[in-house]
Amino acid sequence: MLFNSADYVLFLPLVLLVYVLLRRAGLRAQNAWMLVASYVFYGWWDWRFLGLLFGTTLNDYLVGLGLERTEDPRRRRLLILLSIGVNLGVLGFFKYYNFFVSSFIEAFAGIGVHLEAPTLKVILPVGISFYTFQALTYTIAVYRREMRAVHDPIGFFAYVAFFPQLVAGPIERARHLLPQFFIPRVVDPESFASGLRQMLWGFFCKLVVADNCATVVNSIFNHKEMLPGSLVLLGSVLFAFQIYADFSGYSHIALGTARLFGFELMQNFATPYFSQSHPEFWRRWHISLSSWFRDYVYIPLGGNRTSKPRQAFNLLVTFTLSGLWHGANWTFIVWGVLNGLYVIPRVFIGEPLARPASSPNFFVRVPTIALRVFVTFSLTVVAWIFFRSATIAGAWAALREIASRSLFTNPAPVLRSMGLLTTVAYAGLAIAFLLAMEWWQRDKRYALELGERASLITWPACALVFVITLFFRYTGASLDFIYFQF
Amino acid sequence: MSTSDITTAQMTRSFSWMRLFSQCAIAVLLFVGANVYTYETSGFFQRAHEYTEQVSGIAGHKQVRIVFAGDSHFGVPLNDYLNQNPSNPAYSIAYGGDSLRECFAKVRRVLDTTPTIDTLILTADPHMFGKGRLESSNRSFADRYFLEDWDRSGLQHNLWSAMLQQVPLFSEDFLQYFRKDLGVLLSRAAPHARGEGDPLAWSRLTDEQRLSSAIETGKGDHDGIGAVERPFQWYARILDLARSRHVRVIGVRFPVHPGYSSEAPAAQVAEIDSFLLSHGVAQIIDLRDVLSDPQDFEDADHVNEIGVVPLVKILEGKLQRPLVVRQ
Repeated sequence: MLFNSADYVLFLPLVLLVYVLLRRAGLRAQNAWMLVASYVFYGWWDWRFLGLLFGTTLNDYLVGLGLERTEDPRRRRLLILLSIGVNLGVLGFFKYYNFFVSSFIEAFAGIGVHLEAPTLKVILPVGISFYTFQALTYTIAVYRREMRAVHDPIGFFAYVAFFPQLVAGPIERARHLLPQFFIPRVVDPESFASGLRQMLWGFFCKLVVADNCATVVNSIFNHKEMLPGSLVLLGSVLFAFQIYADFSGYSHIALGTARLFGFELMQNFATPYFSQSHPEFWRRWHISLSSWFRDYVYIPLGGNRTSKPRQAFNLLVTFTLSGLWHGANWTFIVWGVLNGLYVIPRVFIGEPLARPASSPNFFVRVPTIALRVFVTFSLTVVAWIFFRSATIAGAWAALREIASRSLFTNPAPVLRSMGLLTTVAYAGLAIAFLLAMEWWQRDKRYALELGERASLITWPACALVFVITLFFRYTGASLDFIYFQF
Repeated sequence: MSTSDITTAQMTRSFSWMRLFSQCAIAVLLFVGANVYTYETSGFFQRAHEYTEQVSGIAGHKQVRIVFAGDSHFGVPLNDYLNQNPSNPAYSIAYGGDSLRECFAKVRRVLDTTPTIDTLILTADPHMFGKGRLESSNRSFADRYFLEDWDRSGLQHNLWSAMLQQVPLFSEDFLQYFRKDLGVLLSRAAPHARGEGDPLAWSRLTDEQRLSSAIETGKGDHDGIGAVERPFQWYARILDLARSRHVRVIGVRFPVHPGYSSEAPAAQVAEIDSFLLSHGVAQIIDLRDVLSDPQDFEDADHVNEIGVVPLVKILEGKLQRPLVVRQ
């Protein structure tokens, strides 16, 4: 079920109503209801995916119990390997099998050896990368003795399948979310209102910013012939905002929805496009995933407590894996490697322009910050071109076009002929509004977090966002959230 | 904690919920008010009203035997000419922008409510089978008929989604109309409207101007005709429906400029004809070239109020039945 569908408009109040009515019946009843609702939510796409979700959850539940019951280090290691193996095996089979097989065949074809291997027609279950990673945080935490195993299967199954964040995160840590299923959840009017406001902001991001950008981006990137550099650049910049608004929009709706039920999820985005460097960008972008890779890949590899070359290697491995996590395509891997390369120089040379960026002199500080933000954003856009292109060759062609003289052609006539001029105007205005709101509220978790402000500001701000969403939302066939494919 | 503290805490708590609910209630009321205001004042919903009134208006025509269904090619010349006199044996439910899906919804409605109908004159225009008619600007108007008939087959998503689309400010079609209006307002461009009160405007153009305009319009309208399946499916559904009600279906093409019809490839038109005849259309009457005087046209593909008089006479001759009551 999509958050931006009519079905969800009916689903959410119904689930919430029953959940509230079950308050007197106790936490277990509420958890059971959350579990049922989550399975319905997930099965809405394809009920066959439920078996996989159930199976991997059951495996992790049993592994958790097994880890608690044995002190034998060998058995414990075997159990954790079983959990990692099953989760990553399922993920690898559904997501990467065809990619690795075809890459293997192509590699051999390159040296003149022609191999044949079966490729499978498997559908990628929605959100598989998210819930497998989330489930792993539990077994790893139990293995590391950071938390006790959960005995109540309903609470555990509800944790893995928790519908607000099941299909596109945030990827929660078991230590943060799981205990919330076992303590009385209090929903006060302020947090309820805050949940509604965060959902509203999420819908604005998705329906107005992301989907209007998507119309333009898809037309530019799916165009049969390569368009002038100015249009490719426009498409790339719009894609940067599309993916941000799409994914952060989803996260806001997820966090807002969870809050209505008394759950607090981790913040997933913190105004990443205001970052002044790539390390900062990665502390603000898809926080739940980047911190997952930090905790479960980078630090176990030695993190930054090693030599600088080894630290650079660790970073490159982590970012490459992060790229691969996004999809079974070389474009994602290149995207990951590029981001790794953006971060690595800091290991050796530290933060460029760090001193003028913190200068007390306004005329030194502000232009330096602006320059750093601009450079960080520009490099991010270059990486996004690989992320968005269907092939590496397509990404190179796009970059070549941007670097050519066609960068200086006026894009307006082509946009007009493609019927996109108005949409570009809407998208541009929507992005400007998004950035203005985020700048205004940059120390908050989301732009409409106005709880402390006077209601003279709160209500008009919410009403304005609501009206903009209503009148300037994308119209047409529902567009999936980008991260559903991962 | 003293008793008074508890009471205060409880009061604050209940007040806060109360405050939240009352604020939400105000927001809902404002939203409802905005919807009512939009429904009452927007040109889009006036059009929706006109659309449904035209269909329900058949109830006042007790003598009706023949009904016309199609888009503006039928609607522009026929709607006023046929529908004004309740004694006329023919009635038009054609409306500009309708696709065959909308035709199906309306034909089903009038056949349900008007058992006297024995003949359906359905558009056989090639452009109705083109890519440009996969989505109609009247989509949400016709959704209403599908919803009332509890038939999800014609709805884009599901019944619930279509119900939400009936809420004025949730309607995507209204939104597109609103944005178009806003664009016109902001660009200060005059909206293009057909029939701006001068039926002879077309005849004042030179032959070359008419030809060039006709070709351009024809090219756009006939893009991908016969290449998509959906219009054929809707046509077949209309024919099945008519057959089940023992209503005869005649396919008709109205006069257009030769430059316009030249953009419909003959092979595709023949394929369409073959489909219609094999699926139960009793006869195809092709009148595309029966009028040639520019004064009979409003533009390249619409007969005007002058041309409709000879056109109806010709059609009556072909059908050998009267369509209007003459004094």
